Amino acid sequence: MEGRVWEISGAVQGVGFRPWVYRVARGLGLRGCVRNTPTGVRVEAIGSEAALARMGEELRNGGTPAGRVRRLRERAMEPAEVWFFTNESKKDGFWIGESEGAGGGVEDMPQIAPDLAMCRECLAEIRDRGSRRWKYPFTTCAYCGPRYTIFEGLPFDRERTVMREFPLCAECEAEYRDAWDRRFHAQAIACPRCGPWLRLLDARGRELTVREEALEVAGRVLREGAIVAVLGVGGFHLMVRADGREGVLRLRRRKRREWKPFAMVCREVGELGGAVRVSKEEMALLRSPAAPIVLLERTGRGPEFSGVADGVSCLGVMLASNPLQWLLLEEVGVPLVATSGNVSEMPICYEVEEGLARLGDVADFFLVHNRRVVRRCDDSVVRVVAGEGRLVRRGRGYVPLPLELSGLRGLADGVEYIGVGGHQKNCVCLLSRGELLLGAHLGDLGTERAREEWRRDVEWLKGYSREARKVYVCDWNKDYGSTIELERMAVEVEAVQHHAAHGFAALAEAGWEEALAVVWDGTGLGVDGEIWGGEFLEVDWRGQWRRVGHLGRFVLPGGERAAREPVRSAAGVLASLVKGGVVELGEIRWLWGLRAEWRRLETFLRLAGDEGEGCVRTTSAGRLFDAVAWMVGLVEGEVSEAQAAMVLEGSAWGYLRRVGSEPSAIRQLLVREVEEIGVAVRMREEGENLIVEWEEVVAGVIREMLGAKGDRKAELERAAWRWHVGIARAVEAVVRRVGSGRVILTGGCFQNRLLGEMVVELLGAMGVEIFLPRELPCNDGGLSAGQAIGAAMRRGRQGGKNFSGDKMEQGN
Amino acid sequence: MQRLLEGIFLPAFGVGMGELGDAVAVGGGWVLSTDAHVVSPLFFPGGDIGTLAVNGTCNDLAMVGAEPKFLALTWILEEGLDFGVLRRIAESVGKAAEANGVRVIAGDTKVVPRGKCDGLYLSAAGIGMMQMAVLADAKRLEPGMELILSGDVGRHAIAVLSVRDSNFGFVGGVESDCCGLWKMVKGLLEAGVEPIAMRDCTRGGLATVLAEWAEESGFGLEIEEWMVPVIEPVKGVCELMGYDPMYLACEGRFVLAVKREDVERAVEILRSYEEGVFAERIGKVSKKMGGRVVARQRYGTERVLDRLSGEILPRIC
Repeated sequence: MEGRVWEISGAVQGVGFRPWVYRVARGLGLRGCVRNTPTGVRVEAIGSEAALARMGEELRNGGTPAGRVRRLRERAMEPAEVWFFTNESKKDGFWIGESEGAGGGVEDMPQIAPDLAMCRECLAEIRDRGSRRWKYPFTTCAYCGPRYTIFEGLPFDRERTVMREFPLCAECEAEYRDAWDRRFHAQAIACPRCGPWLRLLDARGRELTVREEALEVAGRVLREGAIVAVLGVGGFHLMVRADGREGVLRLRRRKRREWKPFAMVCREVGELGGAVRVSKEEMALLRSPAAPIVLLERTGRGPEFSGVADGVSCLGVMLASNPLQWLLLEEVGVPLVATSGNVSEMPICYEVEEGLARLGDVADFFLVHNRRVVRRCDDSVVRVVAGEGRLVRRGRGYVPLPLELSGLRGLADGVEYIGVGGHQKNCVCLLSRGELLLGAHLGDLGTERAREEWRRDVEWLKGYSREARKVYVCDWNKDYGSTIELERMAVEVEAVQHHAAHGFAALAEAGWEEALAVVWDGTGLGVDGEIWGGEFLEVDWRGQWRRVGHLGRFVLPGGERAAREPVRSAAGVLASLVKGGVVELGEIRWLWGLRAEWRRLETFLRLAGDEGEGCVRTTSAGRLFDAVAWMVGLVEGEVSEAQAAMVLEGSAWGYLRRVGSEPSAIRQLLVREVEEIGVAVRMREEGENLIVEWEEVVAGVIREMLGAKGDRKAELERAAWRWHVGIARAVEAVVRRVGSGRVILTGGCFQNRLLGEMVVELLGAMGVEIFLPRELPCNDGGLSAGQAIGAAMRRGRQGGKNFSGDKMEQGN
Repeated sequence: MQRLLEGIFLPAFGVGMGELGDAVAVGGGWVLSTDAHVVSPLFFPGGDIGTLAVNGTCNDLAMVGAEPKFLALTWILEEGLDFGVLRRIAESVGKAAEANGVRVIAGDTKVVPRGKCDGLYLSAAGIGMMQMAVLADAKRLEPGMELILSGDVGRHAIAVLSVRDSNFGFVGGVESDCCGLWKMVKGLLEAGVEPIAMRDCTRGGLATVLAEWAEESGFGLEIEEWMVPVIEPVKGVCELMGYDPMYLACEGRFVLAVKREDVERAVEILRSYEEGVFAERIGKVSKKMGGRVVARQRYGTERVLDRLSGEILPRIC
């Protein structure tokens, strides 16, 4: 008799791993046991040499649908251990042992599974009248259900989750004990008899009804057009029929969210009536265990879903990811709007009390339950760009799986890094021994409620810490909420420049040693005190970076307000054009003199022209898009963040649809357009920097508008399309001049699918290798990762030396 | 500033952080304060560098509960400065001193070569007599106490701006709020209201004072932002420039913390003065949110008022 011990780390808890091991071991006739440890799972077995070898092989290949083995260590048993298992009198021979608590040297980062979307078997059960879980909204098994949002301690066992409040009934207990049941040792299982139940409350928190009836009544009022706040897996969703404009607008009014697109939830994509196009990749994402919101391109046909996402080219859609959503949809019969249950940029509410307090004025009813949500987790958002899914927001289904980025190999230097993120779209992360653990999307840090969550997330990360020395990494901008909070903490702090951080994140994900990073976003503080945002940076795996080029500067009157008021960007851009003699004031007046905002444009033109008080200089690509969106008349007055750029993209897609091209035909159109326009964008040199002179591209748009006649909408769409072509060619021009073989496209602007795919086409034709981030959002959601990675590379690969270009960082 | 203090001044003088202040008791009930003024432009609607110097120095005294008594002024003049200018400023100093009830008892004048200073610099030192048994101090704040603002904010900053940038000439009607605060403090004391803490909202504005108080006291401050008065022209300019009125400098406004039972009376007293007609309760000290300032907005939202670096204006996130 021989024995072996396997230590397995990875996503192996809460995914039915032990039951699977149990079944395999029993099948092989092994004796021994499997148990959860603080870092994963340990398998101890005795038996024949052949059976043990087979077991090892299974473990190496194996796992369960949602599990992921990261590392497997194998050793032979000591004779005493073999003796123990030989003489152990358990009748089963192989059993699932008590979990091992914390303590001892922690080698690997403990991993628990993210919240997993309902599996097919569970769906079949809740639809089956004969099943005891018919219509039961908390149905889960070893392969699906909440994990991250219900655990309070590790290892992941029922007594350390909120489910400990629901002792199993005899039937559930039997399933839990039955090795051949898919609920064998599944921690979150429940049934109508022993598990959590629903409550329907009115807006003031008074209980109207409970359990099944709560579901039915909630479904009925939703069908009739009410707004219902539904407590899901990671917090509240505000729901309303997606096909009723009046209801959707009521939700907008009450949530004070005038424009920002809402996401929708449905059971099958077919319910959208052909309004969106779904590619193979997109379908796979929709149906994945993470079940994120996928941004799907509209077809221009089918239902309009008016008010849900007006003016943008895509709809955010997710498939019902938990039984409650599915059952509600079945009651309602039409797709629902499902937007995060928060008010004006605050974090999502995830406790019943807070929900009632904050959303009481928004929702007519509250559908809540008593399976507590331990921590917030927004829905993830993914967009397929250039054929692959790219995370726009990292949340449910992805958090808290650590990432192992190939570019981080060998970065275990005894120091851990906590990236504290930016001010908006904040999320925090821990980089430890080459593994990156990202917290869930948090959002804007303007409120104390968000800061509280931020501090909580940082504490949570520290729970995964394995080294004594931790370095906190922030942005250079001292006025970011994250930087300010850090200052209060009396910890070791380093700073990484905003756009460099974006570049490092993508570099590590690509696994490259160096690249030209095209980092285009709204705003970030640059080395020179100006506001950067249209950057070309050379980044390398030592954490060094150098600015090699940028978009030409312009002036933003009123600074940050420009992000919400495109007329300011337009004025700044036009002031540059006037100064350069590209456009005359008369033309500006002729084009826009009748616009409602003409007076404001004039005022801001004057302010920007004088570059006086309240003006900041910027190279922001995002604001340039805003300016163009204003010029072609797509936006006016106050807008949401990124709205202008999104409708500009939407308009350009409109052109594509008009000329009848599938997105795949971008290439041909682009080639034709490039031939037609001729010269690429001009550049000039300023010291070591290439300055992209975008003035001609904007002037092209203006000329298009001056010459516009006939179908105005078509003309605008064509102008929007041309803008995209022109500015994509700016990237091409710089890459050509710098002569880079590897190019990274990142920063929030590259959420713009059209821009991304155009640049990929143009650069691809030059034989350049291109990388767009997949796992780490290209927007500020990926900033914390880039901060941690940048600092780690700098220390780990330069022996602690700061890169000489980072003068400000030494002073920080 | 903090770095200068901790890195250079404190070690050189051999004193601790707590021993230096805007106004400090020097024994026998006497309090000393000093303040230098290098404002450009020298004149602005509602005042000039002279009014600023006198009021600023007297207000530092008033804010610890000392009645301003004597002033000493040091004038640094640029060669070639117009006598008319100097006379006007000197007259302003005289008027402001009278309004504050102080006597100018000492002075010094230096002339520097052309280009070595921006027309005129004025440095003032003031001596006042303590009128309170306990110094007003943010460390005395306790949960439940109420916060009062003595008037509308932002006027001084906008008045200066209207002169500095010709694009804002149209707001010439906005006059600086520059004034002496002792009168109002005296009124409060005479009515038996005990000011727990007082601070004038100069550099960094109201938000910065509140942020400092939160840090110094360790308690949270909850502000109802819609209660903070801002006159329309100031709002208008802020909107255009992307400035936040909560962070704009004032020269004649202060925040006052009082016990719950004193609040109505205190507001009433402040409002009886011309400079205090817009006085409002703006919030209270809270047990929660230790060390932070939360400004509640209408519709259940809020924002944190951070102490900003001031490096980038307007703030950019």
